[in-house]
Amino acid sequence: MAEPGEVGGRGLAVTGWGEVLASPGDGAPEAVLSAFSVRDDVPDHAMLRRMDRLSRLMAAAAFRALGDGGLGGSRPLPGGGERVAVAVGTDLGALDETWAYLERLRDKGPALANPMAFPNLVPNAAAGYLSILAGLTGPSATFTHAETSGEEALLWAEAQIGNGRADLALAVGGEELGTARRMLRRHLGAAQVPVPGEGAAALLLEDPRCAAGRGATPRAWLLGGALGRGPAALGAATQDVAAALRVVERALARAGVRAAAVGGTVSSPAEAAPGREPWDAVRESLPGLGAAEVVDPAPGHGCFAAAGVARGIAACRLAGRLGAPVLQLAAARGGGLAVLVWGPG
Amino acid sequence: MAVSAAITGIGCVTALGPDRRSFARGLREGRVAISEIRSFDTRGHRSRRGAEVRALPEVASFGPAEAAADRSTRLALLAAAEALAEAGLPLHGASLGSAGICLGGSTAGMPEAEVAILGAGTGVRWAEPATSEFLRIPVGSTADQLAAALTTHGPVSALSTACSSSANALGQALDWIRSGACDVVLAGGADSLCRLTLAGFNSLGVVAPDQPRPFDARRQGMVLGEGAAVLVLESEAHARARGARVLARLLGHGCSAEGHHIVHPMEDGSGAARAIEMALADAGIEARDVDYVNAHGTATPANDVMEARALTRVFGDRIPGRALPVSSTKSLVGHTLGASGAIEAVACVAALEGAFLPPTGGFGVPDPACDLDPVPNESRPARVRMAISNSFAFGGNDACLVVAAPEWRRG
Repeated sequence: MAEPGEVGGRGLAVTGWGEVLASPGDGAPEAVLSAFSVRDDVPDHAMLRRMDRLSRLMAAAAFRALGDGGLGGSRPLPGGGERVAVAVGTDLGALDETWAYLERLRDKGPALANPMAFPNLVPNAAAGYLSILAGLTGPSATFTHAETSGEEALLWAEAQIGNGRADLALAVGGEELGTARRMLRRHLGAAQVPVPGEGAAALLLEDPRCAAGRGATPRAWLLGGALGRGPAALGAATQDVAAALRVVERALARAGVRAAAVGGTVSSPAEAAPGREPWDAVRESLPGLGAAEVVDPAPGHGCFAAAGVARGIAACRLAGRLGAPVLQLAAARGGGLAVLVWGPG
Repeated sequence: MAVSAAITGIGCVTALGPDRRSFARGLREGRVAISEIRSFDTRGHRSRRGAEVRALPEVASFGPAEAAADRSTRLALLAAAEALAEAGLPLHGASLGSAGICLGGSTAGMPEAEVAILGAGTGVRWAEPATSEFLRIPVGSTADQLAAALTTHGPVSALSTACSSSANALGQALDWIRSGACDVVLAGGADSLCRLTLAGFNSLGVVAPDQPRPFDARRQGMVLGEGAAVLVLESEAHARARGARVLARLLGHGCSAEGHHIVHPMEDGSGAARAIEMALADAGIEARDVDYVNAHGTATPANDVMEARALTRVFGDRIPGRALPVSSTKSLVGHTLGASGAIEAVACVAALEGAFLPPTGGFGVPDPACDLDPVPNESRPARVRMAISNSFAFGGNDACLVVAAPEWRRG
């Protein structure tokens, strides 16, 4: 569809999304998906039994997005699946399973290490299962970069279509709230973070000509984005406003959007040093952005990589409501910064 | 026409030595750098051998924080410092500020973190590493530490697609150069040996008790290794403008998902062949342009047969006709997992620069099911202008890179 280096006229069409996010209850310390089931979402129940919990979560969100985009059931995929890219973001991956694997190794010895569990410990296990379950055999990548993992997956997915390697891309973010995650919060001294959660979110990006060809209506547009970083310790988000401004300006330039045209911003507090991200200062210092509607925290906040894709979905919804471009802003521990620009459908 | 990226600096740390010159020399000599693992207790494991980086040098170019970093990060820092020195770029300062960093890996700080878990008494649930160790478990921590050490503010990204991680990192870096997002990107990967991966691959029965023998009828599997490779990629215009010496060019990248099985590759090689074909198309070259294949070549019974079939699908009679040499440098430096794609891209550059074919070590008995020229045991002189490097991973995550000599021209 697209020629290398070209991303249609208005960016990439967003043609579907799906979410499996825990809802924080009033006063509850955590948002855990205690009774989640993916059997209604994913067709191959035998495969589900072999999958780790995080992969099942991501598969549920992915199948919801495919269904939402009119690609559920036996509907044909672009190129029979070969033109569909899969981009996954997860920060900790299946770290609880990794811990359990090591404990078994310690308690029973290497001879009894579990061969069935080992393949599920790699962060790209979810991408592999998705590829098998849905027949998605185009480019595939998994990003593991703290709270911006989901945004990196979205931007890589965009590039696959822009470079002509895919017509459609499924970007999925997922994070589970287990013992390892609770340990991380304790290490970060982040007990004050608004309710930590778990879940998965998925979003379908599509070459507009592919969407038009199959009669799919764009619900929003990904207009552009940029990554960057500011100085930060490994366990903290950057507070460098100049660095954040640079990333915002690069993203707006790529999207061809003026700051004054931006109607809103969607962000979430980073788990490390919450409330000290540079975004408030960016909003105040960038001419025209001060009047933008602010959504913070975005739905799914506290879900790391899942939050990254959930922020994108929230930005699509907000862009639609405002009829104006919306900025998705993310800061990660370790200094990573990501900004995406979404337009209304 | 596809845009290439100039490779202007390379750093590589493997069991063959602490820099890329020693790596190239070891490849030329066909030296197998595999022995008993010394860095941790391997009692109880089926195979206790590995390709270990012995006497990991101090990270002298950096500060005390970097010297105290986890082993994977120190490997990456050493490789990055070497690559930047060769490229004539400073370790610190504004000139490197907007450079991108894109690393792939799989073990990150696990070797340090697992000590706390495995060291705790039996029956202890959730033994907990220290904060500094815990924060280095996620794969992205390696890229963040490198970016912090170099004080860059450009894009930073971290991929983890198991054994194709750093090949895909180089692919993303090429995209960043092509899109104009960056003029300079440090890309590659790092992984270190750890108990988790040794036990995991042993439990799958894919580790050889002695040494890997890729494409050999007696092969019993891989031997794990560790290392790092970082390449300085630049836009051609940026490299030209500052008069940088171009060592090689990254021409293309292919990556695909097999959609077949979480561990086993498609037996007919069609999944892997698609990644190779995507890379050739991305590079804008024909199969006949390729002079050398650095194989994934894990020496597992299934992978090598599959890879021979994949290569025959793409390159036709040149594979069984021994007209296109195919070697596995994993036979010399072990399977370095997430770092292997970048290390093997460096092996391709070594072949281009040194006009030789790196050999497949441990080869003795041809396997009729792997009907190809494995460059057995000894390197051979050859004019190599174009090479590809294959990386196939768990999850069916296949990748391929196309590397060309600086003087290579289309047509």
